[in-house]
Amino acid sequence: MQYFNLGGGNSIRFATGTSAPMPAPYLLDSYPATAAFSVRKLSSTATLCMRVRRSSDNAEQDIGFVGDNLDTASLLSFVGAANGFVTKWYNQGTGGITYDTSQTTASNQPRIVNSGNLETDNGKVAVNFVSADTLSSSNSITQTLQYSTICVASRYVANSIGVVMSIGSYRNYLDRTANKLISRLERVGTYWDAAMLSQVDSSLQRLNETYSNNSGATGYYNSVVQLTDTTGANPPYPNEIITIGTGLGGIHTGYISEIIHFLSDESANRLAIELNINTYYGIY
Amino acid sequence: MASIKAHTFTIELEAVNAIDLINQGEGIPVSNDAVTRTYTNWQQLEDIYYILADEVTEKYLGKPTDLEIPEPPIE
Repeated sequence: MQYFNLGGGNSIRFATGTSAPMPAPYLLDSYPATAAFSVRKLSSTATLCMRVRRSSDNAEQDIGFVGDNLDTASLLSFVGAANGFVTKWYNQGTGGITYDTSQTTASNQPRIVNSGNLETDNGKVAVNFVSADTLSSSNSITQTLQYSTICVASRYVANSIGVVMSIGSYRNYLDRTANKLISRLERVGTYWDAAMLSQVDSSLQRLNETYSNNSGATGYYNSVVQLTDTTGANPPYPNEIITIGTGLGGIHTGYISEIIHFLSDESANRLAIELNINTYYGIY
Repeated sequence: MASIKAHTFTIELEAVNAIDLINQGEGIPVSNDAVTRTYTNWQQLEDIYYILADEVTEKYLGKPTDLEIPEPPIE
């Protein structure tokens, strides 16, 4: 049997002709991504989730996992009744520490504990980008014509745009202009523009995906295809740093639970990836 | 335009010194291996240097003033 971990203590089994049970692989064990940040364990080799600063004395501590989840007991024990802020979100992807994201300025660090209580979105712990909070990698990531970006996030500020993740001009964002929640995953200018056309007047947690290959890019909102754009010219792809919480167009004010970035077109694996994510978060 | 609460200064050195005061009071950085290197940073609006105010900055810099800043464009 081969076990595929769905998160939340669930797994499904596939008959493979072998009799001995195998350890349950995590999402990135099956689909390795270069950069991945999450409040849950995505890789069997990941040991650290995030580094947290507590407001009471500004001390910092690494927080790991218990099973599939963030070690919230250690987190709350460390922070106590104070506030807890994410100083570093460890990369669980194959790029390793090269693409860890961090924030050296205290007042720009996103919050994970608010007055002794976990920040949550849709019932699960989430990172709260309260006010111009950002996390960035120190190193640039290669950009190619083939990539896939998957984000679990929500946004609670109307009439504004919030970039969940950006790499240079490439960005994944949630847009609530005109009090409508719109997602767009795009390259700007003449680049491919996989626009999310769904308009939902809410700030619910959402799953945004874009998959790009050599001929175009396709965007999905909660597993529903939105648009495939094949009209853009091939842009130059300068290497740029990863930025979470802001980018060209606006600051994200809301929750982010998970960001996975592949330097490959993973559209053939989309359904399996979505199943894993939605089983854990229960988004739609 | 948007109105924000901020501590304002006319020269850069005043803003730098104000941040040093906050960092010393807060004990930042707490150690050599701490990720956090400063509590906040200053920003510039024309000929004014300002620090966004919150409960921590007000402990060291006093009551902030209202400052009008341009809103970022919405695409």
